[in-house]
Amino acid sequence: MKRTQPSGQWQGWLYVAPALIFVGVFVLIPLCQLVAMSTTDRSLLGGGRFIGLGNYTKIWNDAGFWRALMFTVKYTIVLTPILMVLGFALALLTADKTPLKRLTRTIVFLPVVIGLSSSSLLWFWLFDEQVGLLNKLMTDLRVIAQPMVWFVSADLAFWAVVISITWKVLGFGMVLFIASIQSIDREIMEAAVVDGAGYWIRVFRIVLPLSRRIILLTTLVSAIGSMLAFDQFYIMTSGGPRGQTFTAVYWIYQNSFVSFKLGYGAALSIVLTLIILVFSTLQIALTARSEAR
Amino acid sequence: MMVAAGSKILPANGNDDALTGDGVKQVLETFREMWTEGLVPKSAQADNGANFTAMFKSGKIGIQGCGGFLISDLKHDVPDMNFGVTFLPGVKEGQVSAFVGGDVVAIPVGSKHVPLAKAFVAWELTDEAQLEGLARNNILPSRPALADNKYFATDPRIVTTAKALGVGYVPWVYHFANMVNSDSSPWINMLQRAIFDGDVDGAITEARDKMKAIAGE
Repeated sequence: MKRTQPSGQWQGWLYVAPALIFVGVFVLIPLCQLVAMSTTDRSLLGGGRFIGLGNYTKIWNDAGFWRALMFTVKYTIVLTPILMVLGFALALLTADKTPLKRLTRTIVFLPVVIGLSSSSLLWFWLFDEQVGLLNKLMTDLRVIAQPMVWFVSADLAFWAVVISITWKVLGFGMVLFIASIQSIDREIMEAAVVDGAGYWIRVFRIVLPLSRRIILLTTLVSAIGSMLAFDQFYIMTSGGPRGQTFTAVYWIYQNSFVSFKLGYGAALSIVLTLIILVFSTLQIALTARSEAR
Repeated sequence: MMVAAGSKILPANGNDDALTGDGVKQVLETFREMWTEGLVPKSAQADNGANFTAMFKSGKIGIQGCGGFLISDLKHDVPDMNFGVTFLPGVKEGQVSAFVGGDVVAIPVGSKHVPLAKAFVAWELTDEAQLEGLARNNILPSRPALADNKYFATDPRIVTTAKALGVGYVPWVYHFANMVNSDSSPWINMLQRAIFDGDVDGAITEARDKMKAIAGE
């Protein structure tokens, strides 16, 4: 035993080595570089002096960033429950293995494999005042009297993006929920039916509690994705009108690549990473506590 | 148009004033008036540049401020359209200007090929490159003196566009992207606030302060 233990350990390290090297080269090293860059006034045009925490104190006073962050939080808070509830509802409806349900699943899942930029561009034109099919549909159905410009108000633009993203990523949560529902032991369900539990009781007392881990995973993936939203707003709203739909990442992009302030952009990225880290940890901790109960 | 009316738009540094002269206010008020009279398409409010020439191409508006590229676009997309080209007007008769700009040639700090880059820029300005490379392909030459050339002779509209370089204004400041081009720039905020919200004075004051602050960075 004593002789096999170390070699087994080495073998273990050997197996995880590719993953570790990958994470090291593509995550840890760039992260360290980012931290280092955030303490300089480096520009995209070159140069860069060490300025300590100068960028961070600047962030504290950067009203634009905090406004963008608040907007991102609002977007996340609105979008995540929509994706969860609709995804779960669709999963409940299509979890069985009948051909029609499989087809429905495929159709709902299809947008997930489209690139986010392509789908945003598609919806941008669907919402268009001149040639957009949505305006045409709504005027034909007499919902609105004449075509409307969706991206003219921050609220309308916000909902336009929410609609497009719901269409785009709903299938992802649905598939995870289906996997979770299908993994529930048939015997538990049958026992519940024998005990006289109705459909909704089975959903709320059995399916939901047993899907808790998947719900946590999906919520985390969805919430983090929303906190990092960029493409959809860049393409559909350009941060407008009057800069009211800038997201945190959009603000980082603006500073780094439009204003060329790489050092400041790096500091903004670090702050955003920390904020997301804190919220994710909080969410995981809360779920773990409710599980322990 | 503001420049044609004698105004200065961009501050050279943090001690210089932005948006000086009456032209700024006069032009914004004119646009505001056009907006309230319904002469500007509603979609202009949300325009991010992705589709800004569509309205003109559809024939629903009569004037469009645009770059020279629109000429070949129009010829291609709406061959039957009868259109003319002129300089940007000011607020009084005889005042003209043009916007000269777009892409810049830059040699980054630390480049290992500075002499080569400079040689390329010098070649880029030769008759050969300007006429055979650009004009021949319906692209404007950078030298106004070459506006009248054999390739443009068939279409006086292109000659006008090329001549605009001579009367034009090149917005040149280090923080141009921050002040004007960025989606969050004081320039775009001023236009939107003044034209669509109607607060012309407030919009100008805000933009002046922000541009000056950016120039001082």
